Amino acid sequence: MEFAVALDRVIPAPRAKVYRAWLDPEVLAGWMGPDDFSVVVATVDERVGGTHFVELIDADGQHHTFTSVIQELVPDERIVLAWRFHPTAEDTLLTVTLRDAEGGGTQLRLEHERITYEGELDTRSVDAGWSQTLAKLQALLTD
Amino acid sequence: MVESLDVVFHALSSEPRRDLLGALAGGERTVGDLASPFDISLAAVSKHLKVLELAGLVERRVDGRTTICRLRPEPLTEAREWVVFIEQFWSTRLDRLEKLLTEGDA
Repeated sequence: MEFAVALDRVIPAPRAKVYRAWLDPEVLAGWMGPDDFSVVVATVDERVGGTHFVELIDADGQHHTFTSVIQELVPDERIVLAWRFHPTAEDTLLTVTLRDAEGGGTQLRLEHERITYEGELDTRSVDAGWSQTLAKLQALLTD
Repeated sequence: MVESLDVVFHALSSEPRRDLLGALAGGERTVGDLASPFDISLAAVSKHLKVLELAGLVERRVDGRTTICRLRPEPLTEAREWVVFIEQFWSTRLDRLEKLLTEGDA
């Protein structure tokens, strides 16, 4: 049994722009951290075999790093990363596929496979994730 | 956490073991009952049951000359929570990506 998650989103922006958002460090830094995390540094060595790295700091001053090795790059179409939730974690496989959405914009499919349990991300992080989503939902509904 | 999730994921990574869990979802079974619908030996069933037991997914008890097995679903809940967390992790980030790129157009 493979443990995997898949998410589909339509993003109202051209494919090229969504593709760059994963690879341009300054853009990546703008969205990779949730509300109570800030990105300290993001670096991308944009080639197959290159390192894709994001370091974040949470509200408690704890540092977190996501270190990945680029497996595949198809401009404006596909990014495959061997994703690690921390430097000593096991590799997981992250595939981002971009297609033109029917009504315009980009259809993004994110598949995260070969997931194993990582103790580093504790229940506190889980709670943070949920509360932020609820806050966003609330903001959206009260807009 | 009762059991390491790695052990749970490993236990679930085999089709015969998932079949055994499926059979146990219907209620308690003896090792003999579990072996009969499958084309595998009692020894092979015992081996799989041992892996499931180590993962905390199955409990075995001896009743006279038979061994009775029972499903313990609790570790499955933890495994599911972890998967839900990963979904949430990406969902939160994709929300921000979308917001960032949409605002960039404004």
